[in-house]
Formats: sequence, structure tokens, C-alpha cells
Amino acid sequence: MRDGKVITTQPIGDLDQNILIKYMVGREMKERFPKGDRKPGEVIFEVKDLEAADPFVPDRKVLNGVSFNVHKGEILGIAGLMGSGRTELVMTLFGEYAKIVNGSIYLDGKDIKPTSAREAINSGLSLVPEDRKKMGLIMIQSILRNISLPNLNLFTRGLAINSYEETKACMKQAKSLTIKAPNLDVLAETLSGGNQQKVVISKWLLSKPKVLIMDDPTRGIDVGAKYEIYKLMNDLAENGVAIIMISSDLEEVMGMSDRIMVMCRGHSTVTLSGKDADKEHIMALATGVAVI
Amino acid sequence: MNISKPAEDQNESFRARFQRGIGRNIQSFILIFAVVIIWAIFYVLTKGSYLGSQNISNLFRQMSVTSLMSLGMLLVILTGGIDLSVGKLAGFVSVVVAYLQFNIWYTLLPNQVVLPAILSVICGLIVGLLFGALQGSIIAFGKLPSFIVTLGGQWLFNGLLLLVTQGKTIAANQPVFSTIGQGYIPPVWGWGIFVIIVAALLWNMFSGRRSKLKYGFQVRPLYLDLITVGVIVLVILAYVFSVNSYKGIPVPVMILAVAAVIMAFVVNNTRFGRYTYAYGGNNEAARLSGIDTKKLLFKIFMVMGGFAGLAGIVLASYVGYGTIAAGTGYELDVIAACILGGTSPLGGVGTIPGVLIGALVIASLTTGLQMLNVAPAWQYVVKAIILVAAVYLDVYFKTHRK
Repeated sequence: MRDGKVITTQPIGDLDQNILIKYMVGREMKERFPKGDRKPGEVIFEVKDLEAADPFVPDRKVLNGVSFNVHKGEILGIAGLMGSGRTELVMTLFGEYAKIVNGSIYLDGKDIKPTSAREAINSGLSLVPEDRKKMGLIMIQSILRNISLPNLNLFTRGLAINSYEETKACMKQAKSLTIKAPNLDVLAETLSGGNQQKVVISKWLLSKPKVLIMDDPTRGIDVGAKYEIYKLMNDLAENGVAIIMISSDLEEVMGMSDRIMVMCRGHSTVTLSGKDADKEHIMALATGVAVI
Repeated sequence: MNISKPAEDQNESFRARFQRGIGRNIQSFILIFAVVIIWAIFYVLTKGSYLGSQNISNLFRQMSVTSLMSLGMLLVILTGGIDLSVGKLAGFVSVVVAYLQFNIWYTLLPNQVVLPAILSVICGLIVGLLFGALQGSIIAFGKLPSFIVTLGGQWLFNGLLLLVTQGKTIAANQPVFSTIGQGYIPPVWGWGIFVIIVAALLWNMFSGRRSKLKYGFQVRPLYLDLITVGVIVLVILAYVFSVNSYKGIPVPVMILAVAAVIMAFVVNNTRFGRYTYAYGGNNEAARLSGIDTKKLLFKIFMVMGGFAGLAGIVLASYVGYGTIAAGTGYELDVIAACILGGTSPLGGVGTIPGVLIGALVIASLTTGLQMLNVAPAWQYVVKAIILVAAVYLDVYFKTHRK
């Protein structure tokens, strides 16, 4: 099925993955990952020897020496096993999880230590969180309200929100991401996973971040929408946004990233350049088998 | 690109538009319909006197104290919380104000009437805001459930109320102060206010259309906007005409109207209002969107306290004295008005007009049953049935909509 219509019904023997994807997407998918033409610039975001304590068990360190940097217009992939501290890392960078006990975070040369999402956003970070339903969206609100929420200061004149400017800006953003919905008043809960994720990305793009953190951005969405999100990431990087992407899908990390940082048990191991990376090497680093 | 906005088709028939409008606001229409039915029943049962100008005047005056608090309670329930202390807080403010009027200003400012009234209002508001802020800070920064904190607050305010009154009744029927709750706006002024409202509605409509065009949105056909404004104007006209043939618009109703317009603006058009809805819809997503959720929660309970203070001032002036029983049980009417008005107890859904209509349903029932001399026991039973039935219908329509 696609766009509410039955496209075809065939015996399973006649199908392989590529044919199936072709029917689902409506065009031939030559490649899973679109090629970008990225020219990474200078370092914009840098994390040095970050250590952070568990918010509930102060003695336990969830981050135990993380260092990496991201260049302008670059996609940095973060690979690692479940529980290696990837999500904890990005939530901490966003000021919303662990308490930083050591180390520093530099954005555009400035030393920042956000203690809340608000501070992180103000300094130029944005986070597309891991769980869009629980953390990214307000499901009972419209697309419009979801996109404008972190950006209301842009539309506020004096006390009042200019709803026309708000609608116009959100509409432009929604159109550029090709969110499929009859209008912006549709509730987020009625959208498909891919469109929901596009709403989350829209709301963060409107705030013009310098560094966009995406925690498993393609989780639970179909191949067609995945491809669109990859293309979008390429566009953003080409326009100078630094992207940090977490993914559990190794192929995705390798297909999309310029460089890959591998995490293991709360610390960063090594940053590989995209073309040098292979699955076995990454897995060895992630499980701690390989010594650096 | 698949978004075509808005879903306004220039050629859509009036009938189709009408049906779509009804469908979108089904709950408000059910409630307005309920008010009409209730009024019709009582009109017949009381042989017409229910809709007499004196009773209309009293009906809206009686609902003003609890409705003022409903405006604040909407914000609280939107966050998914509750405030059980508002009745007693309003009662406490009413006796504080009565005490100030009777004991303090009388000796400090003899032979003055205007200044004491102004001071009483200021003090009443400050007391409400302070205790709202106290509860808000415990709930927001201490991370305690609002249910527990405000249950404690209810006892606290009851105790303070007993301390201030010493078990006695304090007179608050001084001139000027008593006009806050008992006064009327002279009919000539009432008509002046009506003209101003009509002018404001028309200005709002035309400036809205102009902005829409300026930003490149389609505008609805002019006649539709005019019909909408026309219906609102007719309702206000009927009200002003009715109360003017008695003594004029009651002052507390005017206070409520101004407060409601301000709050309707606040919840829809300010960041504070939007953040409140967002917090109620998903507090985690709201926080990750950069909202300072603790400060927001604190502010909301402070605003709630301010409305309880305002209601307490009106209450003292309206009944003319402060007593130990002041405000008892009001929180239940306030919460019921919000729920009847379509506010979701889970948070994130609710409107100011809905809450006002909810309050009107309750007030209509109460005054009607009183006029018929129904025993208080049965009044409670009828109100119980209406409340539960209304919420049941709401749930039913929401789950069986499509």
C-alpha cells in the first residue's frame, strides 16, 4: 500500500527487498543513502574530557571521558551499543540529564555548560530526541503549534504572538520538508511516523541551530521517509549546519557520516573517518574488544 | 507539496460551512444547547419569571464569583493539576478584606470611602497572589503534587479564616466598597459599553481580514464574518437590554467580562498561554522545547491565587460581610465549571468560552432549582446527574466522532 491505495499484491516468491521498496516508495531506490556534496568547514562544536554523574546515583558516572569535535557542514555519526551512553551524552549536552562533573563543551569558541534545554537552545543547539512521541511532540496539538513552540519568540511583538507570521513561517518550513497533511491544523497524533519526525525536525530547523543533534532520527519510519530525512540532513550540512547523528543502524551511520565516533561504556573511543570505517572495526570498538 | 491551507473553499456552500463549523466545535454547541434547554424548562416551570430581567441580572451576578476563579482554574487544569484550595482562599481573602474595611480603615482613615475601597482591593489581590505564589513554589520547585499541596492549603486557609474572624461575622457593607459586588452600571453607560463592544468587534474583524490579506492568506467571505459578529452582538444586545430594564449591568458581571476577555487573549496569543497548553499536552516535550516549566507552573498557581483574591473581594462586597463559612465548597463549582466546559482533567485541552458556558450551566441550574423551591438535597442530586451525564456525552462524542 502507498498513499492510501493498494499498489500491488504478489506472491512472496516474486519479491525481493529492492522490488518491495520500489513499490512502497513509488520509484526505484538506487541507493539507500543519498550522496551529499559536503565541504566541512572549521570546528564549531567541541567536547573535551566530559564526565557526568547519574542524576539519581551521584556516585555513578554515566559519562566517563568523552571527547570529540564537529565541523561546520559535517555529519558526525555516533555509534555504540545500547547502554553505551549515546543518548545520555546528547541529553547531557542539551542540559537535561546528567550533572557535568568534569570537562568542557565549546560552541563557536564559547565555553558553554547548559543546565537546561532553554540554555542549550539559546546557545545554538537543537535536539531531535530519541522518542518523538514522548519527548519530541505534543501529540494532542496541531502541526502548527508543534512547529512554532520553541520559536514563539520569533513571532512575539510586545506581548502578543502574531499568528499570521507564525502560520506563514511554519507553513514555509512544513512545505520545505514536504510534510503530508491536509493543513497545519491536523493533530500530530494522526500523522504517520515519518511525518511526525518531519514535524519534529521542522520545529528545530525554524530555530536555525548551529549544531543539530539527532538521536536515532529514522527509528520506526518507512524507507521512503528515511530517504527524505537523509536528503534533508545532506541539505542542512551543505548549508553549514553541523549535525551529530546517533543511530543503532550501523549501515546508516556508515552511509551518512563524514566521521564516526564510537562510544563504549560511557566514554568515547576513537573517531574514524567515514571511508575508513568498516562494520567489524566499529563493533570491536563498541564492545571494547579492540584496544585503541 | 500536500499542504493546502486553510481548508476554506470560496465556493463551499453555506450549509457545508455551517456543518463543518458545528462539527469542529461540537462540545460548545452541545453546551449552548444545554443552556437553552435548561432555560426553556425553567421558563415553563416558573411561568416566565425565570427569564425576567431581575432573574437574568441575578443569575449572571451569582455566577461571577465562581466564574472568576474558573478563569484561573482553567490554567491549572490545563497543566493536568488541580487547585482544591481556591474556595477557602477566596473565603479567607473575603474576611481579610472585611476585617480591613471594618476595623482598620475605619480607624486609620475616618470619613473616607473611596480610598479604603481601593486599598481593600489592592490588599485582597496581594493576599491572593502571595498565597498562590506560596503554593505554586511548593508545587513547582518542591515537585509535590498540586492535589496534596492545595488540599493542605484548604485547611491552612480555613484555619487562617477562623483566626481572622474569631468566629464572628464582620460587616463589609461600607459605601463604595459594596458597589464592587452589589452595584449596577447605569443603563446609559451600559448602552455606551455596548456600542464600544460592537465597535471593537467590527474593528477586530476588519483588522483581522486586513492582516490575512497582507500575509497572503485567503479571507472568508465577508458575510460569514458579519454573521459571526452579528450573532455575538445579538446575544450581548439581548443581555444588555434585559438587565437595563431592571437596574443595569451588575458591576461584578462587568469585572468578569473584562477578566474573561483578558484571559482569552492570554491563553491564545501569548507565550505564557501557549506554554501552558504545551505543558499540559506533554510536559517533557515542552521542557525539551526550551520552556522553563517550573517557572511556568509557579506563575500559573500565582495567577490562580490572584483570581481567588479577586473573587474573595467580590464575594465580601456582594454578601456584605465576612463569615467563617465564606467560600466553602466553591472550589467544587469552579472545577465542575471547567470540566463541564470541556477542559480535559488530563491537561492540555480547554478554552475560556467553554469554561464560562460551563459556569453558566451550573449557575442556571442552581438559580432555577432555587426559584422552584426544590429542597437542597435534590438540587445536589440534579447537579450530580448533569455533571456526570455531560462528561459522559463528551467522552461518547469524542470516541464516536468519525
